Amino acid sequence: MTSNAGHFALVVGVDHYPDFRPLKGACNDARAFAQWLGHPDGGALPAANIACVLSSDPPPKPIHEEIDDALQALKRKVREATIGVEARRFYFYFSGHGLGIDNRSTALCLPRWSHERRMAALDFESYVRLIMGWGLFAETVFLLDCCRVRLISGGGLASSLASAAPGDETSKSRSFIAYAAEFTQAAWEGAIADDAGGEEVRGHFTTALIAALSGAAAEPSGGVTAARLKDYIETQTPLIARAKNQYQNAEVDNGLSALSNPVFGRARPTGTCEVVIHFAPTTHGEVVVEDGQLNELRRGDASSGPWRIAVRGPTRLAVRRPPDGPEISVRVGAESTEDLHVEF
Amino acid sequence: MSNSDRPLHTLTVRVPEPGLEVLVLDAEDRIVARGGERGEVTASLPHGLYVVRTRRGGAFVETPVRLDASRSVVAEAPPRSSAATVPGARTTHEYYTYPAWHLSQHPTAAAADWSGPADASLLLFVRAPEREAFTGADQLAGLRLCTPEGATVAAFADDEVQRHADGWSAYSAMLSPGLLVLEDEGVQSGHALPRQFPVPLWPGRQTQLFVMHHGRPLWEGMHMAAVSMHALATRDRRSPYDSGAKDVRAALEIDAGLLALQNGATEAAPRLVEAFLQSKFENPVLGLLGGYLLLLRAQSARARGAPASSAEREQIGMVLDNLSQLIPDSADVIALRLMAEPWLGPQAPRPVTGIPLFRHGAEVLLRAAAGDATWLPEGGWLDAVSERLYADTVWTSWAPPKLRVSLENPAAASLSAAPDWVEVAVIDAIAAAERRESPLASDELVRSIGVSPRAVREAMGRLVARATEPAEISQTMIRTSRVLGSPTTRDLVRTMGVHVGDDGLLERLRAQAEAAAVSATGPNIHHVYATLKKTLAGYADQQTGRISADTVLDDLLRPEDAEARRRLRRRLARGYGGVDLTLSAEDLDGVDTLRDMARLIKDRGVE
Repeated sequence: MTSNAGHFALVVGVDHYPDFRPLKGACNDARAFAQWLGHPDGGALPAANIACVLSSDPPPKPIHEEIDDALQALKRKVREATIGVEARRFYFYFSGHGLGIDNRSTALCLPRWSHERRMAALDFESYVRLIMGWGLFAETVFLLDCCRVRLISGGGLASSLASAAPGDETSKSRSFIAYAAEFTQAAWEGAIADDAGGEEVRGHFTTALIAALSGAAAEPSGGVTAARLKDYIETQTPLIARAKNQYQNAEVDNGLSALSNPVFGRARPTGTCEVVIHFAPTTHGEVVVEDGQLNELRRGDASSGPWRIAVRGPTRLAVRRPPDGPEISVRVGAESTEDLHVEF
Repeated sequence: MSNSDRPLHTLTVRVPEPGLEVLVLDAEDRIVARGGERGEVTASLPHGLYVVRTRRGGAFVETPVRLDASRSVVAEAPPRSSAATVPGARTTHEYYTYPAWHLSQHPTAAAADWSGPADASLLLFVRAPEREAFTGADQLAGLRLCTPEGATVAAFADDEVQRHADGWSAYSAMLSPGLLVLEDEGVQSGHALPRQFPVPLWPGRQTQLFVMHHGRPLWEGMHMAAVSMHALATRDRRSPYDSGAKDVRAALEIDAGLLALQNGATEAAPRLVEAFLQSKFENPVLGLLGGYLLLLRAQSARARGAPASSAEREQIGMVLDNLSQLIPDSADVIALRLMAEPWLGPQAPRPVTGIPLFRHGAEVLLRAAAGDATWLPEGGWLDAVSERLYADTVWTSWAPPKLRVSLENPAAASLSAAPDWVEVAVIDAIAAAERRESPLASDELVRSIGVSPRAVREAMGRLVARATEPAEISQTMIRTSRVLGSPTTRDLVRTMGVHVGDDGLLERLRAQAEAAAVSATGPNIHHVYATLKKTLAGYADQQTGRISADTVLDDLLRPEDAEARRRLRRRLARGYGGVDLTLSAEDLDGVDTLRDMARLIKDRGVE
């Protein structure tokens, strides 16, 4: 399978904040995203095109210069690696603490951040300007799984890298910027089931992001369009947060070309999901189950339950008592089996 | 069946209140329609299952829709939380509403005429989210009301307040008009921060502060309202749940406005301005909120390239004129006028000695002062607290200047011992500019840190003073001294008028830093080689004309020329500050290139 030799990525995950509140899931998130980037059905980036910077302590790292070093090294690779191919897309992913400065500016906190070292952070806006200003990439994708709360005055450090002048193709560089939270709001993390049957802590935003890119938001032809990714992240992140009794609304600014409608990865839509509908002992009589397009999937007496119905998730089902009885509308995820308990 | 084969129906969504964000999602959770500015939606959609999601602030609620025919749906409103006992909020309970309503008319404490006749009033109502959540904590512990100079007006002693088992505590009193300070020492939980707020008291009005308490007072969500004495006088004949009453309606609008300002949701602006209009420009809190939202909305439209209309200019002018008459000395009004310059024209800088109630106003004034310090005279209120401002609430609040450190207040102790963050920020910003090799103007530095010019100037002065004091050599000390001795700092010191003693002090600091670096880490091979190259420059000119680390020593100096070798040793001693390198003939025989020779000299501990 061909790889996207013209795609590059800087992935940063920061769990270690020795003088602030440590996080548990930021490095997990960064690893998960880096894994998607390198997967043949994911971003399909050659391993050499991905720089993954994860935090450690002691000493608290990365520092500002290490992020810039990684970016500089990537920029050098672009020239070498894209001979004969078009340098097309750059991914910038950050997971850690963040502070909203205003609606446009966010400070991405580095491990040394504390109430005293309020500037020990990356000035996100300057990194957007820098990477887009290179003019090397038609598409620049920024994904920030961090808070945008305002607690105190502070800011971030601009990149020490700079271009003497905007790159030749800067005018054609478009951006996709996804924030885990709206300005002044918090982003959260919580435990989710891991592949080994245990649990690991992950950010709600990255959980939605990875689910979308892994097929939950995929097109039948494969891959996730930028427009669909925006919708998915914005609609699903609040649901994931609400399941943990938290509020979190992601904000996605899709500035990529609507004409080319870029696609992320090659994942196929999530497979069939089996829904098991259990009726309460007090529920009797005829019941109808319909899919999201109101096609009838099953009709029968509730006493014949539980019913096993195969659907392609995520979708909605209507369970109702015909002809004009009560109706419930339920959201079905992309998990392999879901149990619904119905009582009329 | 594909979408194109399914019959289309019209879905009309109405919202129960303005200002709600509305999304319509299809069965696959794709967004198929969005509400307009007023939230309402009309869309032609294929037969199927949908969900209408309405959102206010962070909270949302979903209304399922079965679209098997054209339908009109009234979407649910998300639950509202408020510290105030406003009708309709899920946090409003009768056991808080009626006491607050009663105490707004009946003071709990004697009048305090701290500055003239006591013809203003204050109600402070602190309450739990619900009585079941009340833990019995002293909700007013560590709180006091004081003058800007620090004199206590009320310490909320037992005979000044009322407390109740339902989980509320309140203070109300007639007071002199003016600007007071409400201080929280931050003693109530491990996460509480010491904090001060300005509390405005307007003649003929009651200032109402409603604060939710959960482990500590949640100042982030404080609700402030201004109610006329006339409205208070009629309260014993009215219900607190009458949403049609002017004061109750204003409280609801203020709640919506605070949420909008907190979230940057400026679509609420017209509603707030209209409410201010309907209050006959009498409610200062409503007017200020409306003004900020109106100008933020206008700024946002301007940033998108939308042309300013004469109606927009007139509306901005009308709101500001009325606010100027209502609260003429308000720092918020000056900040709003600054924000309005693109529409109303520039104004001459005027010194602001007070402090805005709203943090946004404080930030506007600080940005203006970065370019022209006239805006914030030294010793003015905002100037004095600029480096201690908090940013987690729409209200201006700051850490108290002198914390009363005690065993009960460990947070205060740690804050007192903390290094000054402005000093750290100054050093980081200058170091970054040096790395970029780009100039750093003083206004750019001040603006990037977000404090007053005085705060930055004093931080630089302290840094220089501290750097000249004897101290143990550390990497931090070396870095700070290097940054202070940089050309960028020298420019900033000159333009900002920082007093540093004599002119050569900063350069000496840099030299000291380099020397300290050597003694801390040993000789630097780059420095050794640079000196060697300089010392041998004369030889190179005579011999090869070029010199590099790979230059072979014998190319410069024939091995059999003993006199030349003696001269070289003398010259090297001079080049390395008179140090006798004691390089013997054997030593010189043992080196091949200049790189080897630099290493040899470094090994002798010379730089």
